Amino acid sequence: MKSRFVTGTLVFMLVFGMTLAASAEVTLRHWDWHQPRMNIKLKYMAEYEALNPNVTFDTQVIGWDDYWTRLMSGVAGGDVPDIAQFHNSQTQAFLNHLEAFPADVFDYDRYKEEIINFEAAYLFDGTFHFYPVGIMSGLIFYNADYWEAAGLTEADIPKTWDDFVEIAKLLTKYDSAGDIQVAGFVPNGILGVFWLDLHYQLGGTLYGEGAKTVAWNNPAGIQALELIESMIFEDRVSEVGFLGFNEAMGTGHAGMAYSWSWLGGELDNNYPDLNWGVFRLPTFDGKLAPGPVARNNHETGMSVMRSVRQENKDAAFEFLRWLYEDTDYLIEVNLVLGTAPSNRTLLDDPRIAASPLISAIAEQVPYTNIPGEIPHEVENDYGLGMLQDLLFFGYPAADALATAEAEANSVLMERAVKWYVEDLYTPVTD
Amino acid sequence: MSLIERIKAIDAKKRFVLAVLVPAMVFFAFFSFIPIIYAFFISFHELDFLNPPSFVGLDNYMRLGDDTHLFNSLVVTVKFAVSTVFIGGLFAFSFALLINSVKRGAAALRTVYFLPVMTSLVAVGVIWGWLYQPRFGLLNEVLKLFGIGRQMWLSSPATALPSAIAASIWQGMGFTIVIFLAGLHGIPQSYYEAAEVDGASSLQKVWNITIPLLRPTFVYLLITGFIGGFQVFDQLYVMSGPLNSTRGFIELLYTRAFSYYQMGRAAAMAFLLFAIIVTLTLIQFRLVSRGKVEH
Repeated sequence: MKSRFVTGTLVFMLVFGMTLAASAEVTLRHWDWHQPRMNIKLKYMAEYEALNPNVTFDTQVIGWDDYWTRLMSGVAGGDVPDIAQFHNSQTQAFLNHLEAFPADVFDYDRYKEEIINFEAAYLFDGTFHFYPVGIMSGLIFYNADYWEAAGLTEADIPKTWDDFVEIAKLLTKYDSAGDIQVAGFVPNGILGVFWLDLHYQLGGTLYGEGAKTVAWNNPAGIQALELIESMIFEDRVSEVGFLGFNEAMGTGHAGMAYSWSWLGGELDNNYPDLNWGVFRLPTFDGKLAPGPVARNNHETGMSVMRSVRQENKDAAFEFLRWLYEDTDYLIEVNLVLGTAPSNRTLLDDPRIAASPLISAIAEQVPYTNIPGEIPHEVENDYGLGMLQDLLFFGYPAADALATAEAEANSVLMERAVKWYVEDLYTPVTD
Repeated sequence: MSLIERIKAIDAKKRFVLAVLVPAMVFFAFFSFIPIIYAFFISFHELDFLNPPSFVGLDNYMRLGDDTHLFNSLVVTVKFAVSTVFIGGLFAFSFALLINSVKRGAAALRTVYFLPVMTSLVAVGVIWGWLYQPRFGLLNEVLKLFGIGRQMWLSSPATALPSAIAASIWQGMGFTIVIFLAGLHGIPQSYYEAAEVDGASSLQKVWNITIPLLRPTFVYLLITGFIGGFQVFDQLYVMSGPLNSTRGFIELLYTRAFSYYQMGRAAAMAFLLFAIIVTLTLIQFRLVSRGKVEH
């Protein structure tokens, strides 16, 4: 009798405990900086809440500039979201505070096969800490109305820079005073980033060996910068002091502009009447292989913060596994971000193929390279960002590169790049 | 004696003073004093808030001396502060003299010149950025009417800082004018009447009456103008020029702290700026305390 009572009590406690555990309420806090992406997530979160009544989401959108400060102070003060939208530019700073995606929940081997650059761009000491979502690169956007008015068709999309310059000249319009009214090609505002792609095409790299220095002032770098210089000062397809690439495109003052693929979303949102098209970067010989023809970067997904409670981590990873297995979600997010899916099995999806923008990236992406981390200063204030100003204000190409290189190297002396994968690029054979 | 009994023992007037002061002091302690002490503490550490701090002694201060970007940003800041205080002050003083003589429509005029002060610094920066746009901006279009060629304004390292300074002077002048007007209203009219009887010209009245009697106003504007000028951030951040030609000290400090996560170094920069401002302020006090005018 006594043993039956004890057994009964134990069974009751076990069942009761399991029921309690199963129904334990979990609220997952999530932060993102991008409202359109959050809108998609909210739809899937509502679906997940319906399937898992014990899970609720508490979401917040914080502007990009404040986002990292908030996350940093959250780490310092112990107040972080369970799930944080992540960007790989912050890898070096935050990696130690992100929980590794558990190998028993996420299929590492499958990702290695399916996801472009997975090992180079995502694995740190054999684990990954933010989910691969999309990949973007530099493209050429064009004003489709001007294109048509100039008598150009799809067949005229240039494959080489020589052809490209001729089309840029054709699209350039001057006013009666000889000033440029519509620039045939606008690299203004993004010239350094554009130069780097040309540099890659000519066999150059961003970094020297081990990323201890940058490697810009060399014959390939000079040739690349001189091409841009001749476009502006000889062919006059743009000029010093012209509008930036995005404003020029949006306001109808550009025939073509270089930009990363996010510009597509900006044009649609801010200039809905603009009729624009896009194509992959031309090259010096017209071919993409063996590459690289440009730099790429990944639009990463969400991370789980290391300092949150274990049950929240478990619930967060379970949600992320559910979400990222949903190809509809991945397609929707890539479409809204203007990125090609990192998962190569999704590149043939009809929704991706139907998007000219993403088709253009998808065509180019296999021939692009990810260098690893680029410190903010090297990309902007004291490096690539200086090239335009130096070129525009009279520095010969070699001097401009030498000056920007010296500035960038002084940054790298202080801030060593730990995540360096540029040399992992494998030339592609078509 | 318990705390309540002690408080009761204080007379009512003092209790009122305490009741008013304590919240402000608590606020000041938590949001100013303690953060300042903590900033001083972290200026001796390498700290990014993401990893434990490590003590580096005076390293952060020593490295400031080798930082060419810091020197450049300091030069930019000094140019900005000096220009806005002196050129801006001169314009504001001239306008204040003119406005002071206006009898009708003074209220409407006040609204006009004070409007830029009420406008967001960022909005002002964006609008001036458009006015300054070399190819399509309004300013160059106006200059073209007079046969003047295209100016690069914010797009050239040579003209970017003066352009940003001009926009900042325009934006802040309304406040300075108000302070000058307050000072002008405090000067007894009888002094001017007496000067007129003596046959003084307008310029002589300004030189011999207005300027000497506005000395406290000048001192106030000089000191607050320099302090504000050295702390400039928004205007130069929004109206940025090429090759770091408009990168001020606070912008560099902000970037070090919140883009590079070099909190210790940024804190050391903050204390360097503090030392500069205190020194300048003391010098200004010393200079202006000579030859006081009383009336």
